Amino acid sequence: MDKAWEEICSGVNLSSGSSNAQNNQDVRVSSRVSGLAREESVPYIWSVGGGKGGVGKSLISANFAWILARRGRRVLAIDLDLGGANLHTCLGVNPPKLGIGDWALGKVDHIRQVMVTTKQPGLLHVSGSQDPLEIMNLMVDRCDELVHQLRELDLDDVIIDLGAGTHPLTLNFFNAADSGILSILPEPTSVENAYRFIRALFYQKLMKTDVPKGIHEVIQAAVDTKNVIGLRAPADIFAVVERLDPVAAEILKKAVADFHPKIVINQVRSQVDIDVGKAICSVCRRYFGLQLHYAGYVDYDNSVWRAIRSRRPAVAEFPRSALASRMERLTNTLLGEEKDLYP
Amino acid sequence: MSAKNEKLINLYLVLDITPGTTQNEILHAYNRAKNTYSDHSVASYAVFDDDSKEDILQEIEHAFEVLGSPAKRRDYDLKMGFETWKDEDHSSHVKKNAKTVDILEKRRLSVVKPSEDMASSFVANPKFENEIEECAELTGEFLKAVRIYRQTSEDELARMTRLSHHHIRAIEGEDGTQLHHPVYLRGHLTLICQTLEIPNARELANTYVDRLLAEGKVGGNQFSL
Repeated sequence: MDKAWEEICSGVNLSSGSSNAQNNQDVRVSSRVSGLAREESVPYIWSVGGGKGGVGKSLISANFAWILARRGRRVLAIDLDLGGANLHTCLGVNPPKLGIGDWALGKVDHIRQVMVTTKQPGLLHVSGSQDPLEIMNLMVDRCDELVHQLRELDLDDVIIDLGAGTHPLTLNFFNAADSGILSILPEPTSVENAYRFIRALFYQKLMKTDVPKGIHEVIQAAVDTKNVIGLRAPADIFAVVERLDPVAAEILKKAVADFHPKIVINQVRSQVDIDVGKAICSVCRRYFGLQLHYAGYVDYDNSVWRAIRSRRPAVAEFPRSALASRMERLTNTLLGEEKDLYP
Repeated sequence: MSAKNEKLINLYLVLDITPGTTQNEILHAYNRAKNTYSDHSVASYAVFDDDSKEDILQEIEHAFEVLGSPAKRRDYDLKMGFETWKDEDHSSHVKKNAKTVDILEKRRLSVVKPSEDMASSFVANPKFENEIEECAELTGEFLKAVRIYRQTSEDELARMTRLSHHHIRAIEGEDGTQLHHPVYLRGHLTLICQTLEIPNARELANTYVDRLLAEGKVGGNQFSL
């Protein structure tokens, strides 16, 4: 674990085969040059959420991380789906002895001490497999500290696989990431929970703003869907606050101005399912006043369960499958190399 | 868009499009918006109640009434200060429009004929839109007319529905010898209707299959229903 970290820090290639070492190094340099413009040695943090269980968060996290590493980037995949962690299985890693819980309990000082290597050179993993759900409560107040430590790592990308629901820890990490990805199934239950998740993120952002106490109380009242202040949609809160305090209204607008989660529709079977992504973007614009980006979709594909049984990401186990092809395109879109499907 | 214009209603925003959009894309956006806020949509039921959805649908209808008509749209763009829309792919639209008009005339529907200045744009036909809305009996000919009206090629429809070209042709031509068993045919027709944004897809698929069963064109003796 520490050795793996030292290897990365010193720029030594992670590949066990020495013959590929130089090639991989070249790819790494070129991809960093051609990739997103960002500070050298400051990793870009992606969070993958969705509000509901079984919508493909771990599938997208594992395959996305694997593709990025295969393209020569240095990647860390963290499992914060505590209580239901299985990202390690998707990545083909046995449950490690140390995980995120050991960091949360203070057994180790730095997140790098619980990182393990995977079979994909350039891809590291922090597991949550041995950690109970209660660890999440311990970590809520240490979110900023963990993000700070992640920013210190000499990596290109950090991918955080979040759990279902709207636990404060899940919301904190989604909001703290540079980019948030929402995995949604084209089914009523999944779409409904995704809205609930976005709603919680939206109000958390507003609650964290530095506005007068009275405005915070208005926001708190609006969180209740049966609110007494007569809000039909969260987007209406700006007009309500505008009447009370125009300066505070501007602060609130700024707080969500850069909030553009990217959505991915998973288990797509037809054009109708694909169009659900655009419909969700439209509804979110009207309801929350937020512009979501429809980054792409992933087909319903038998290679998924076959890959899970073989405990490898589908992009590694079935590189020629429709799913692998979609994941490659999705990666291009997320990296800004291809346009979003919407807008 | 200037700050001044933001105070007026941006009809493009109502349809989730931008001022540079082509007439054909406006039609697609209109149908997509209607589907998004319809009763059967999975995307809107959880956050908007019936009254809100009704209000939104009225906004959508109003937006399409203006933007769906090239003349009204031109006036609106001028009033709002938007750049006047120009069709870049002139020749392909002329060709497609000619085909659309041909099919619709066969169906004895009145369609605005492509004149010199309008030939370059797709012309929404409210009458045909209405007929699509109120369609109670599905035929292969009608499916083909809608497909062409929506400017969707056989290739595109095959790709979107993952059905073969051969099967789509058989459905549109009501060629009983080539059609699948009714059990599968119902599903395929539902999918095609949904893809072509024809409402009541399931019920219409049943009318098609039931009619062909009554005519003895499908069913055969593969297995009884």
